[in-house]
Amino acid sequence: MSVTISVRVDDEVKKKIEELGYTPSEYIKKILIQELKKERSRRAMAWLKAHRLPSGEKSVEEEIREDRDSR
Amino acid sequence: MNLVLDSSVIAKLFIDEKDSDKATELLEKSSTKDIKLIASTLVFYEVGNTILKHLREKDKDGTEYMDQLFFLNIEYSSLDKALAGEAIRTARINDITYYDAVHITLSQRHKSAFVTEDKELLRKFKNAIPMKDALERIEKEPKTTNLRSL
Repeated sequence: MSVTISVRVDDEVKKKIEELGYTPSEYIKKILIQELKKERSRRAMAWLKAHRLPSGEKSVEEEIREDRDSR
Repeated sequence: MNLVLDSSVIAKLFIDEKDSDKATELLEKSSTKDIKLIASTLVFYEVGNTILKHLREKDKDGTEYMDQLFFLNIEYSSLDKALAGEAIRTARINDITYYDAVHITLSQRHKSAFVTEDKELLRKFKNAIPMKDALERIEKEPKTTNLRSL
């Protein structure tokens, strides 16, 4: 299901989008999706920085190597 | 520029190791440049298994950790028939596991460097680079135009 989101911008912004060869709607859609992905990632990174799990005796690359070799 | 990431890099975001900050930097800096980060969906299994080994009592069931893996700005690529076939060939020729070969073949498909901290893969494959080298490449890329410059 898709919904419509309207945005009001200055003429100048619309002109600049068109100069780049986009229609404003496709450009806004592209940017929205990109920015949403980035924002979610930024928040995930911040959460991970605050909640990193303690390391073990081996590094993660050693653990993954062992897993791959033993499967 | 594309960079294909190994599980050994992504797992460092979750586990507190000496070079975990480097993995964080890699993801953060990539988002400011025109860089696409790609990984095989195999990382869900490999990183998931790594997380599982490190979970403590207070970390509850670990679902929050798995959620973050899905939220990262990485394009996850699933295995298809062509990649599966190419991977088994790569595994046989190079005497590596099928798991390794899936990651390597994905990087070859994208004509991309493969960022890994795995010593064996770094030694065997020319396109395999450590996080340190990937960060240098990212530094050289121009910044993307952001919304404010419109």
